Amino acid sequence: MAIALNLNDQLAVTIAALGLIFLLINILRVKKSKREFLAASGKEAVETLVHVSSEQGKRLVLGLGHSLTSSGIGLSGASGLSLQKALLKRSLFSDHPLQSFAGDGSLACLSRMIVQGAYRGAVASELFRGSISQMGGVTPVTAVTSLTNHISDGDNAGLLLAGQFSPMLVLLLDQADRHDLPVITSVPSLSGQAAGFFGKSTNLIGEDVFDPAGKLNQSKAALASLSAADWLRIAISVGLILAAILRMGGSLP
Amino acid sequence: MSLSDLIVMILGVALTIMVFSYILGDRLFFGIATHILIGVSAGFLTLVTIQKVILPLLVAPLSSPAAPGFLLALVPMTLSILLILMLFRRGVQAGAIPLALLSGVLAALAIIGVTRGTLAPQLLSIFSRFDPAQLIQEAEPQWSSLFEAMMILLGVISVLFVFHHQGKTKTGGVVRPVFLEGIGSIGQIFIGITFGALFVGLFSTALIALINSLSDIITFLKLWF
Amino acid sequence: MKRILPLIVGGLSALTVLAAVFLPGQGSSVLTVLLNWVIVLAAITFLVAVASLALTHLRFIITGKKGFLLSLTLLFSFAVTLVFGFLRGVEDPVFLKWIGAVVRPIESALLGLVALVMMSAALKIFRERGWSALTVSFGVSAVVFLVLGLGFLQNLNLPVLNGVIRFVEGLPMIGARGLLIGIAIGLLMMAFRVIFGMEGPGND
Repeated sequence: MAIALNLNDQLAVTIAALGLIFLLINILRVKKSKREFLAASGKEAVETLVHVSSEQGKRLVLGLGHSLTSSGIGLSGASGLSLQKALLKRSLFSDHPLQSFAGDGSLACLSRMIVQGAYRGAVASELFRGSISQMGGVTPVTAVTSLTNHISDGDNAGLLLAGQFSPMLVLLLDQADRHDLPVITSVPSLSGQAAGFFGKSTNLIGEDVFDPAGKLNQSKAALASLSAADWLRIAISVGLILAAILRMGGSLP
Repeated sequence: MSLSDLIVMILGVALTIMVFSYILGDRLFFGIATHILIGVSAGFLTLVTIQKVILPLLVAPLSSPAAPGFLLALVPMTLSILLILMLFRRGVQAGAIPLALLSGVLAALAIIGVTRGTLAPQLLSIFSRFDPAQLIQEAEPQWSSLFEAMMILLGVISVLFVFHHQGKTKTGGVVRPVFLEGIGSIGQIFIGITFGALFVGLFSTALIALINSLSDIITFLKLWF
Repeated sequence: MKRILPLIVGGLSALTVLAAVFLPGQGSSVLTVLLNWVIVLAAITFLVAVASLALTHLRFIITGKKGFLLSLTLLFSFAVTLVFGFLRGVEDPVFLKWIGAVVRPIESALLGLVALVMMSAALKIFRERGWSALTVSFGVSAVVFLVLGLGFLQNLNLPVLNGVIRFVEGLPMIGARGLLIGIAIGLLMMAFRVIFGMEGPGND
């Protein structure tokens, strides 16, 4: 059965296939060779926050954002879940484990499952409390305002915002500034990244927002996907230059 | 002005002032206003979800066993029960299968969305800038169009390489090759320009909202004085 | 098995969607059914999360936790909205008028607050973030677009200036394109990780 795809779809399928091939090759390669990755500002900032929080005996607060299935369907809204998993492992048995707030039903359920899974993995299911993974608000605005109210608590050592947030996150950053709380923002939308420039926060931009935890964990999958992303970036750049030259020369329609 | 309009106005002004009390460092009134917002939004969206999704897509097919959709509706019903079990401490793991289905579909939609909706159109749009019909008109090269096209191509590539992850170990840590570092620096300038423009856009929108809120308060004051 | 089953369900559902989109024919009806299930499941997760939100705040009130007054406010407004909406229906104009009367002023005031907060702290950006290619171009761009936003330069109607303005207005699109392509690459990799079970349910 012949399938007629237009140019846009042909390109889309090619890119998806390339991405998949690069990822599979890198998953196999990561066993054999140890690649060298640049130090990520996000990783250092997260590690500093974890250190400060355990030293002061205070908790870290994680905002997971407002969007996975409610305010527009998009996987990008789930970028904070891997960070939650990585940070929970480090604070599971502390008096103040990582406290997370979601602004979306599916995110809240996934987050609850991650928390329960972390305790079960540590053979400490009896310590699991649903309240450390809460639903904050139900809309983009209320997801921000519920966090604005929570971060002023004196038991907080820092704030991490990983997921989709409306540009109103400026209010959160201001509130954190007022309470001298260090903040890391990792928002996939461009307007959210622009708003993240406000205040003293460590603001992850571009595709780095999908890796706030990857380099922290040094997991095989995360490192392989970073490497595959590098390959895909090079392939796209070379492809663009070649296509532009061929188009100017009249060899491509 | 009717009595209900007057009450709506008084309510609006009171809530606005409660929100603005944040400037003075107040937490109580700001907290009350925002918690009212959370409660009302949650209540409203709960009703909408039940009426617009649960009743027509889940309850309606299940209420007529003879209908063709009945058997198909049993699947989401079973998965929904597993999700509801998540409310209980011991039932959290029950949600793994429905959430896996949800994540799988979202991941597939993301692949389709980013390749078909973002990557391919963006790349084709850059590519179309190099159309000879645009670059040469009446046998004369259009230098400004060529400059613009080259700038977009090189600008986009330089932005892409800001996020290149791998490098080589040198004394003092892992560093990128010099040429990538140079390209990345140019990319940072383009990123800064984009975020600066977006920041101004956000500020303008917020300013309009501020003017709206203040004008509501002024209208209210004019009623009395 | 506890881990494998979610992986199989996730992987199969993803492959079904991909096949249904790219292979014409029977695909569209399968896709419709699957998407309907997802919509229902998303709605149920929302209700579960709202129930858990209400239960958490109820617990705060019962235990007299600090800030329980705010929890009381939240639950009261939630209950009133539910009862009012249930009695009148969600499309009732009076119900919608009162919802708007509460939501609109608070949301508008919050956005206005963003403007006030931004005004008071815009200049701190350089002090907090230092000087780099990124911060300098960010600052210059913000000032330039603020000036352009006033419309004063456009009103001068000088052909050369208009050309420059048109060029400058196109510059943010270059960075935006690069960022969007980069974000798309990152998201593509994340989607593959989810499909392969390296992230998401079952991977704990």
